[in-house]
Amino acid sequence: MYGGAVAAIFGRITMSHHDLYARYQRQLGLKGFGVEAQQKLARARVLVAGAGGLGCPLLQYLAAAGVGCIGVIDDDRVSVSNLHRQVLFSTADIGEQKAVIAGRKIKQINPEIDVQVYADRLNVENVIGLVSEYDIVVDGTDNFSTRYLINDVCVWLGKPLVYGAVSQFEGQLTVLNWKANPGELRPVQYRDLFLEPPSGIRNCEEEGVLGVLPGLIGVLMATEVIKLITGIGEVLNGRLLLYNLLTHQTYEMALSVNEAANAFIPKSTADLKAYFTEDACSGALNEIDAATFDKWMKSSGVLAIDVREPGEAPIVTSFPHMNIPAGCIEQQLPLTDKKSIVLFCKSGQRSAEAAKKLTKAFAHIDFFSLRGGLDQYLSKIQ
Amino acid sequence: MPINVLFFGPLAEIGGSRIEMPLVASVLELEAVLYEKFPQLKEKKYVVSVNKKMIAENAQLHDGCTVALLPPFSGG
Repeated sequence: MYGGAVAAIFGRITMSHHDLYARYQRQLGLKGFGVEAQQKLARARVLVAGAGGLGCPLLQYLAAAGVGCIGVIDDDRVSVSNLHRQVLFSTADIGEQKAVIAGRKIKQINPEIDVQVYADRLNVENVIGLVSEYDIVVDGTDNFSTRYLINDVCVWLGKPLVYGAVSQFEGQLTVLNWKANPGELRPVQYRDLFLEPPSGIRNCEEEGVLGVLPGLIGVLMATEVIKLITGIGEVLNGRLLLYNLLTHQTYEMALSVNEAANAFIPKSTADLKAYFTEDACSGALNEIDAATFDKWMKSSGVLAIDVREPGEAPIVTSFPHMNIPAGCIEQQLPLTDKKSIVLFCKSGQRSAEAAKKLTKAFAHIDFFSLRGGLDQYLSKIQ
Repeated sequence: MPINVLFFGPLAEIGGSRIEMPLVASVLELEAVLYEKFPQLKEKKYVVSVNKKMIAENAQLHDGCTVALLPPFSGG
């Protein structure tokens, strides 16, 4: 019944009428969906940043639903500890590039769609070109630096941003930078909530996450993408939905514009590069690897500081160090004659953020962060 | 009627997920009481919503209102 109309409008997707109807019949027949919605999906271009816990279910469902062009960017490789939640990957994929494997798997799910694979880190150099090519950006990344970079560029280029994040047993999602709420001059963006990237926030590796949680939140994010494209239902526009896995309770919060945030959006490409290049995640930070750290710990010229909370495992005793939690290190940094201080934590994230903060505050000392944290150090050195 | 205070994400480890507090006039006054009760909270970043609406500045509180404290999440 839909055949002729559907095949005619599918542009670069060349499917027989019969196949097209066969694949999408269950959603084509939905009230308020139909051929037109399927057409909109086929013409849509969606960039998924991060092929991790959120990215995997997002990519699966967007591909299955028939989103015509899906870009996937991630520079990470599959590791065994990803597999409990990153459901596009199998044990045989360990060591492979996530973007490549994810792209291949979703192409298998739906060979009719166009899949663009970028096995790179999203950074100041590539972000503008990439985001420009897509209609909607979906943020499934796992760190604040990339999240702020994506936010700022979406604000700049006027692209709707489907945002989601998880922490332990709780998840959250919202649609940013789409439409202004009544009475407000512009749409809500992430800097309205937190003007600048917070420091000292633990990531999934450090605080843990139950595998199904990013699955649930990722599927909800995919739902918002489909709503944005097709116009069905009510988009979570500027409304943050919080979900607690343990109780199945949800809580919704209407976000609002914070005028102070306007000043924090970089004004030019040069601004953007300056803001994000000094950042921990662009690689410009003074990071040292486990082998260098080991050498330094055997000499006495460098002060080592554990920036984890007291008592956090693993306890280290193999080299001398102090313990000052990242949250108060700026206030509690001791007077020292050492010219170099190396910070470490479990995964290297908190120490990188603390090193960045301290570099700004204490220009006379060189701060370093142990890349990959104790996890990498202990697995490589001991 | 008291005020309901909800703590989300890692903040729930500090304050519990939901507590009742005696009514005070504003969010700033509530924060002062909360910081005394939970000193760790003072170092945390969060946004505040009153009756499910995010506030960027101080706001008045009323009998029975619900204040939620939401920290940033970055996990993916």
